[in-house]
Amino acid sequence: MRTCTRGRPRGRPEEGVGRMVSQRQLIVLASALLAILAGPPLTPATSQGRPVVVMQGVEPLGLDASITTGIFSLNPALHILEPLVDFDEKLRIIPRLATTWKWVNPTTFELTLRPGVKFHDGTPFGAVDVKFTFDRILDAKNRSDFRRYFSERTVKEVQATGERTVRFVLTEPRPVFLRTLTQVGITPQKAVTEMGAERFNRAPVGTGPYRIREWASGVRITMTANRDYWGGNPRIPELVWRWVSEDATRVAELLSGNADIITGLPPDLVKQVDENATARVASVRSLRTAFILINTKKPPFNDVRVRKALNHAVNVQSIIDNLMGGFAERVPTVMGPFVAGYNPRLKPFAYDPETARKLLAEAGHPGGFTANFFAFRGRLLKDRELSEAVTAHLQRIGINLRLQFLDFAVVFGMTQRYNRDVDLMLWSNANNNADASYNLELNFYSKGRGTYWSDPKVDELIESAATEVDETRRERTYQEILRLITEVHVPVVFLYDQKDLYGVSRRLEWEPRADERINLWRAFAR
Amino acid sequence: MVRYLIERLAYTVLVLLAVSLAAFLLAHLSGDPALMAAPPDATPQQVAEVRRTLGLDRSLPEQYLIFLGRIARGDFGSSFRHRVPTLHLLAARIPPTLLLALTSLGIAVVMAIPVGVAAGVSRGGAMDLVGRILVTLGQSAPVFWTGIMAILLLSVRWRVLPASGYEGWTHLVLPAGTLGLYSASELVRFVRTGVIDVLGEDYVRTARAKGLPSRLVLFRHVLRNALIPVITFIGLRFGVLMGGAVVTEAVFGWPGVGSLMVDAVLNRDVPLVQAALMATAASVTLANLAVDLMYGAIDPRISHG
Repeated sequence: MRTCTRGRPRGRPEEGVGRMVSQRQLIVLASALLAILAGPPLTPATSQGRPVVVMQGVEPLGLDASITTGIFSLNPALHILEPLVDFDEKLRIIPRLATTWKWVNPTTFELTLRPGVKFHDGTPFGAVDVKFTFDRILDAKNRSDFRRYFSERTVKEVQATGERTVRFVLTEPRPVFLRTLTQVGITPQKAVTEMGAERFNRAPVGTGPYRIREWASGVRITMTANRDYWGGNPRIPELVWRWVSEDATRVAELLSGNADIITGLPPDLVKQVDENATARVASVRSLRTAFILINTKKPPFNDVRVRKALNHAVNVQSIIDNLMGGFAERVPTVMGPFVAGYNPRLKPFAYDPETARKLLAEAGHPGGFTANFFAFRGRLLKDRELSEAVTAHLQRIGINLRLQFLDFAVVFGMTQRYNRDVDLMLWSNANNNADASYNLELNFYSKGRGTYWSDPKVDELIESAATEVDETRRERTYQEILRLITEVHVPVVFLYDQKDLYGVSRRLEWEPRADERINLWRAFAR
Repeated sequence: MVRYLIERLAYTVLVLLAVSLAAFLLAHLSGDPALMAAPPDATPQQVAEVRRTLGLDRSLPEQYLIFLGRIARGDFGSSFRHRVPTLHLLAARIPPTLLLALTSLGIAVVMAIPVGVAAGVSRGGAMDLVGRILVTLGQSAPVFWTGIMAILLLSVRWRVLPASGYEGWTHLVLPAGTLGLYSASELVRFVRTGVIDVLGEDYVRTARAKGLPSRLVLFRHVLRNALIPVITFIGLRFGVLMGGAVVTEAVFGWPGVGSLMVDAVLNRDVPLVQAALMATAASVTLANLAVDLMYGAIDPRISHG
């Protein structure tokens, strides 16, 4: 899941009905049978000339990428609509509909737009469309999900200062602003006005590399290459987006040659996919970092020695190697190296039960104690097994955890409002915008959700970084915050970055990226 | 008959009223509806504004009456997440749901009645064993297991049928077959017990005593009477299936009502949950009504006079 700033949990692509049936037994049975059945098929799949099919867990909610977020909606939508700027595969900012940009002053951001770009209906793209797009987001009536980033709290005004120049006047300096532009698709004033919001959301008109052909509700979305695309003709003429919530069915569709990319491949089925002649596994270190929140506001966890003991007692590397099948990367702090502001000088806690026991004894708990551990299932890769392993590891130093699996919405509620039953709680963060600000302002800031730990000094640093326009100084501040969190305060049990797993047909040249975006206009299929 | 019909219709309306009350209260039990409907990062003033527009500042009974009035006009509100009227979303899901319900029930009847009758007649015999195997398999293997196995064999290994989707009749075979097998395994038990019960009745003995050929006894006397529980089963099962076959839909990517409703619940999409609840309740009560009326047509002893 993506952690988010409001009352409803945002979904991961694989969220939904399938989770209720993807039981452990099913996977075991299915993998056993797949192993038996994975011999050569009777009729080899012929793929020549077939459209490229992407299969995800759920149907998109809408294709208006200025209104609906959620990666399973944005992935198809951002083939039709385009953002002003984008991330490349290394998560560096690159131009899209804007060619250059600059801070005119600490609260005014100006972008110059790409010349000669046309929307799919032939209307030329210009500054009025950008203003129109963001004015729609700013208007609360439209209930855009992007109000998380663009609302009257952050943006004072959007001005079309020329045919090809746009200015955003902000309420205060906001260096992360450029990064938040990467997900918003620019919509044409003319088409949206003529079609109305509801119809546009189903069949948008954009500037992007693909045009929508059809959205057959509940069934599939079809797109065809935009021959007039400013960035050159896409090499795949036709794209199809489909969805089925059951993981094993997506794998079956891949193995039978009916899907070219499947998202959310379960680690248990990796071997079967890799051994198949028509498919391969693609994995990538994601931006999502898992950790365990500690309630530092009550004993014994108000003592930092106890929190350090927890970190020495959990053998994270063994969990990664043995439980996650290697599909995770250890991090010493609450985010990984792709995130701007990451501190590369930090070292992870050594696995050392002896030191852990000694720290517990120093803190006055030589015999250990009993505590609550709240977790959830089906949201993170192998979250159940992870929670059980942590419980077992802590038992070895005398800490008896009462592990309870709760509905995700309940755990989510516990992050929003202080709950004194919480001792430890499984959690993660998506590190949106690949920038340290998102995670820190959400989870480790007293005015965010810093419910179980916050610190006045760190609060102050978070606030100063949020408005620091000097990139180097800003980055250094985030590194200092992460140092304080990892070495001084230790408010969580540090775990790892999760890897995202995809099944990909061998005819397709495409690699996954850390930010879960599936971009197919540069991909190639045989 | 007419009086009975009116009574039953009144009863149906009462049930639907009760469901509407439950659906209404649901919205208030699962958190502040104004907060759910308000835009992300809404200010307290905006929430207050939403509360006023949605009439959430009125008393609960007043709000319920307004809610009923809207339903009566066919206005079930808009989905928070999908941003379209809930009725549009539901309407798109009804044809696939109906198709799957009818086909799977058809498959169940075609499989279960011959097997069930043969099992009942030759109690302890070979056909009874076949029936038992069907029941044990169908009941103990969950739909997702048989479904995945069918996909692995027919879609991955032999590539004769598509694994998922809703496009042509080939896409219907696996979900309807899997669900039909499951319903059949339950139905066989009803048919078998029905046949065994009726075989012990006096009128069957009389029919046999007067020298009627056993085939005629079976069709004219046994089957007709043994079918009453079968009709009940089919009627009730149809009502349930119209509420969606959640697991089958998930495994085969079938765009039915069930997956829509589960996603709505998981995401706290209150208007959509309310509309789906009302639609499902209506289909179940109407199926019940149809079953009750059919009894009279089959069993002359049950008169609705």
